[in-house]
Order: sequence, then C-alpha cells, then structure tokens
Amino acid sequence: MSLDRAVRSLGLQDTDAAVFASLFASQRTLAKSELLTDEGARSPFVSILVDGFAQAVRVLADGRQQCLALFLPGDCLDLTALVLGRSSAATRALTLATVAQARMTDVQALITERPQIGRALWRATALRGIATEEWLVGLGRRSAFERLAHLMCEVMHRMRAAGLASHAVCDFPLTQTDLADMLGLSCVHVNRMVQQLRAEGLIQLGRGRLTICDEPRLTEAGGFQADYLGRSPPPARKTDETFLLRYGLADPA
Amino acid sequence: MRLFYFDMVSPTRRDRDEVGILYPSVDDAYLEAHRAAVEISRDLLLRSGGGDPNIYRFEIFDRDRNLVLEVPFREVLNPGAGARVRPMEGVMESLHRNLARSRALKAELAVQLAEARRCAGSMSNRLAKAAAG
Repeated sequence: MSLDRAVRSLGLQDTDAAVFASLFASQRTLAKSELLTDEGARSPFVSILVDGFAQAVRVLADGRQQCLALFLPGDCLDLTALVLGRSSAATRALTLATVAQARMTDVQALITERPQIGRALWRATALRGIATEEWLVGLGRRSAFERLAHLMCEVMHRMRAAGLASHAVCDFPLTQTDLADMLGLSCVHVNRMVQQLRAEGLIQLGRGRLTICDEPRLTEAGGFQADYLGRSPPPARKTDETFLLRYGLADPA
Repeated sequence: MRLFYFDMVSPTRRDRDEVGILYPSVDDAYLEAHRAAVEISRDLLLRSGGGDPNIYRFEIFDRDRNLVLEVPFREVLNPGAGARVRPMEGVMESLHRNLARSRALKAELAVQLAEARRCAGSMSNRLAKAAAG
C-alpha cells in the first residue's frame, strides 16, 4: 500500500495529508517475528505499516501470549505511545513487513500546528479502542467457530478497504499459532475450526490466501457487523463530531 | 519440530486432520490436545444440542500416519476417574493392535497353507493311481 493511501485512510485530505505524509520519510523493513517496539518501551518514532502484517501482543511470564490487535497495511502503529510516551504492548511483525516512520516529536508538533491531523489520529485511536472491545466480546462470549469466522470477515473487510482484496480473495499469511494467539484458543482447536469452515463450504485457505466462498453465511456464523471498523466512507468533519459525541470524546456543548 | 495430525473421533464419526501442526515433541502435542479437549468440551456443553463431550477422543498420528497416542475426552474431563493416558500407552496400544492383527493373518495363512498342501497331496495320489492304472 502506498503511504499516500495510508494517510488518506486516516481521513486526512489535501495539504494536511501531504504535510503529514512528508514526515514519514524513512522506511524500515522488519523480518518475520521481528520486534518493532517492546512492551513498555519508549519509541522515538510513529510508524505506519506499509506492507505486511503485524500484531500488538502481550506476553505472560510463562511464555503464553495474547494478541491484542492485528495490524494490516495502512494501519498506524504506536498511537498509544504518541499520547502516553510508551507502548502498552509489544508490536511485532507477523510477516516480512515494511513500516514508514516519522519522529514522534515532529508528529506531536504538527498536531499542535494542524488540528485536523490531531483529530484524525484521535479518531484512529478511538477506532482501535472499539476494535479491541469487539475482540473482547469475542474472547468472552463467542464460540471458537464464531471467533474464527468473525476474524476472517474482519480481515477481508479491512483488506478490501485498503484496496488489497480482489473480490473475495485476500492475503492471509497467519499461521495456526498466530490465530490461536489472536483467538485465545489452542492450535489444535483452531486447526479443527479451520477445517470445519472449509467443510461447510464457507472458506478456502491455503498458501497464505483466504477465499470467502459464502460471505453471507460466514458473516452470520461470526455475527460480524462491520460498523465498528468505521472505514468507509472516509469521515467528514460532521461525522467526526457525531462519532466523538457518541463515544463521549467531545464536549456536547 | 515434528508434524502431528489430530483426528477427532467419536463412535460414529472420524474428523480426519489433513493439515497437521508442528510441535517440538510428543509431550507438547499431548498437552495441546489436552487443552483443545477442554475448549471443545466447553463449546459443546454451552451449545444447545451440542452433545456429550465424553464420547470423543483425539487420535494423534505422526508424519507417516502412525498412531502415536490417544487422548479420550472423558479422561481429560474426569482426571480422577482413572489413570491418565501417557504417550507410551498410546504406542503400546498401537503395537498390541498390530500384533493381534499379525497373529490373525498368520493363523489365516497357516489354514490356507494346510488346505493347499492337502489339495496337492490329493492330486499327487490321484496322478499316481492314474499312472499305475
């Protein structure tokens, strides 16, 4: 994905988009499993994932880990650190990945100078929070089958929004272990659920590609509603205010 | 890392694992099967009409589809009810099954060989009589 498209997916237009994009002059390539930022670390950079898949992850003392967010091309990373100064979770590449990076101090200065950029990043942070809520609902209340169906719908929807899906086919380079860490399940259970989705004619999965064969049924199986992703259409200012009011992020007065 | 296949088996059905998962050892495969049995049982019990999880078991095979061990759900769900399945028990069960099958085949072959000998002897006698007559 181009950096320009990634910046516009934040809802930035014209000069704001161009100025914001100009800060991301450097690129860094990450090997599969390479750490971008560690849990609790202070990073001098804000990153946008340009290519590949990554995750926000927390690791327990005994090595078990829980994926907290899946990052796809176009996603802004390190948003928590931008506000709080340090990362709440580690960010790790799930595949070979490329990130564009801007100095955090430069981004913070630009937010002061151009409020629309601050608003766009605020919105992205809020959407990330809502996506985390959706995952929490899944972990707490959905069955394994529902969780996996929901995740596949989410990935397809986000890849389409990023222009990286062809009809019902998109890259899906996640291993069974990755899926297990995202869904809070054992690999054996994930393996069985993948085979069940295949057997029921809902998906095809192989060689790092996902094909959704029956989207209405998969959507129903996962209880998926795309509203929480808030991807399209790109928000106008009025929509932003409605959004901020709805989630108590702005003063109603 | 070694490849293991996890078939889920009930008295009426076998869900064959065609993909497999890599684990460092049989013990790791056993522990994951144990965890999966708990998770699947939970889903079955919470789902209306999900059925009794005690009827299922995992059969774990190696890369060449040799049975390595079995993990009956009932022993995971009722750990105090009997001895826990250990990997070697699965191997021994597999060996015993193959040994019994080999003995049965050997016995069948012995019967067929005796019958062939009897037929050959009978034909030989008839040929001798025919030559003398």
